[in-house]
Amino acid sequence: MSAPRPSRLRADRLSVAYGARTVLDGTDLDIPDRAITAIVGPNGCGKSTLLRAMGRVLAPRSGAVLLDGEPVHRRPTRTVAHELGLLPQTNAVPEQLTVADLVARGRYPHRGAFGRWTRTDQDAVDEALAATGMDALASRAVDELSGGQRQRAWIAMTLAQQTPILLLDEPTTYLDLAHRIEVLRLLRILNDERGVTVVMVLHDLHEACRYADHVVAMRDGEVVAHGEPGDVVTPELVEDVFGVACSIVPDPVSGAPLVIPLDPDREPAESSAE
Amino acid sequence: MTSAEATAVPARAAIRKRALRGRIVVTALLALTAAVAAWALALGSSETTLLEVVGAVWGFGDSGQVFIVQQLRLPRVLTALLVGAALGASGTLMQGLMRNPLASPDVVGVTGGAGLAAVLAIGASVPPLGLPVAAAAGAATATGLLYLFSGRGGTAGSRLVLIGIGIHAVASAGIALVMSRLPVGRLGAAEVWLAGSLHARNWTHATAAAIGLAIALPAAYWLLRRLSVLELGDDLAIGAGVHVRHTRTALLAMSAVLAGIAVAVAGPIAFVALGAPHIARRIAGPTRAATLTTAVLVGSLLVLAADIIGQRLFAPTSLAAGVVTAALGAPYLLWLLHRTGKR
Repeated sequence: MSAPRPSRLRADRLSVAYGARTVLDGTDLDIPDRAITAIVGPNGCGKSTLLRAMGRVLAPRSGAVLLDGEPVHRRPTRTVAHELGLLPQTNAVPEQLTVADLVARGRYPHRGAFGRWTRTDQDAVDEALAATGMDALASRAVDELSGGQRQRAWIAMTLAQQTPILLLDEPTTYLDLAHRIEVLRLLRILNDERGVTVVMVLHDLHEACRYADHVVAMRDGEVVAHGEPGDVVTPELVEDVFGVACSIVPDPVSGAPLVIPLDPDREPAESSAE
Repeated sequence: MTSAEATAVPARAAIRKRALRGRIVVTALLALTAAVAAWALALGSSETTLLEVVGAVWGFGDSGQVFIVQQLRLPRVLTALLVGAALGASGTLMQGLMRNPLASPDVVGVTGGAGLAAVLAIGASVPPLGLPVAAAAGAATATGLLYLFSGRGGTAGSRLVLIGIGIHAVASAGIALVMSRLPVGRLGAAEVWLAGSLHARNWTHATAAAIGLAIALPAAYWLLRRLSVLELGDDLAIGAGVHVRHTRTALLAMSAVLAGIAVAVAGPIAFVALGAPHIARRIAGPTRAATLTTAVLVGSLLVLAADIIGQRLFAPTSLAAGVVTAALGAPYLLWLLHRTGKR
């Protein structure tokens, strides 16, 4: 493995609890800069909690999320919003809000309460719409779009915020195959062309392996393994984390690990003769 | 706009179109409000022409007419406009805060709290000028309870509405109880106040409302951009750099202050705080400065129109403005529910 990458965003002995229930207990994690990191794990393992704590939605009970060495929860939230963009899993869509209007609201941290609409704001919105392929739909109402278009509109809004780091909570959930690939490719392009650091929670292990540079596997609120997909996603880890016995083969297109669960009710087919 | 133009610089075109729409709507409403206000000044038991009215406002013409216009009609018209403006702004903030188009200070108990305090004050024979103070205190108490019961960080959406409905129910029951105990001599005064009326409102009322609005309305505009991000969801707003807890508290407080101004001056005028923001969104689009301005102007127009209708429809008997808005608002609300149900 290569030398550890530099990291602006880190979880430092981070503990997060919902009331009496501790979800994260002293988690340490470095997010590599200018890379795509996918957080995977079974339902309830704390992956969304980790992402939301890094996005300062949840306050740590102890420990901290550090951005350039400073706790994000202690910095003024608007200045953090210049560095850290966040796309939650579910959002509310006001009736009749147009895509252009939605994306323009992503400029809030740069404008404040009374700041005028500047050329920089307009350029950021145009760029975000172009990058997501939403320019032709700019004057359409968000609540009339398809699921994939809607998700791209939300991503465009976070892009208009122009942050070097982007956190996304299950950006592909509820999308069909074509739209999932569309969103993941968009994130790949943003990372390739602009060097945006992407951190996302994903459900699909293969999507994580194929589109991320760095995979973080979690179980019961703990980071079990992290590193390059090929090193992390092994039959032992999948068995350990998901409790599923599997076989792993390189996928024929990208070579990324492809997880094939074994069927406990049947003998694994030994020969591939027929 | 042709589709070729739309694809050239779509975002710019969309944003420019939206800004233009806002300006047209606001200008048209300003003109309409001015016209209706002038007409309202000319209406009354003594006939006055529009020209005479304009003169009388500035103190020219027959001294009797000047007195009627300056001392009787003008403060009443201004109070109606200011009360409507406060209600429109209050509803806009509250519906955005609760992410519920059916939320309003009259639904979540703020107005109910004011009503209960007012009837208690009437029962205790508080002098007339103490009544607005009591009403404002009642509105503030109801809002304080709303905030308290919503708990830490729990001011989200539907929960807040449900707590508010509970507070409203308790306030209504309290009003009924106090009314049943009031001596017959004071029952009339309580009923008149509870109907929500602009009858005999003078310069004291207009000035008080104007001072309140001069403070609260700029605060509402200051909160508006935060609200436009907050209404997309709490987590998203945090990500975009909005301090959600502070913003929610400020929005609730400002909405209550605005509703408190209206109810202190005119009593509970139903439906305007609910309907005006709704109408504003339909004609000016989703939350932004032009939408708030539109809601303010629509609120003004609704209250003024209700007062004119109340005075003229069954003349010489007059109806309270609050009775008129309730009578017109109920069918509108039903239609609204029907429409939302279909979507």
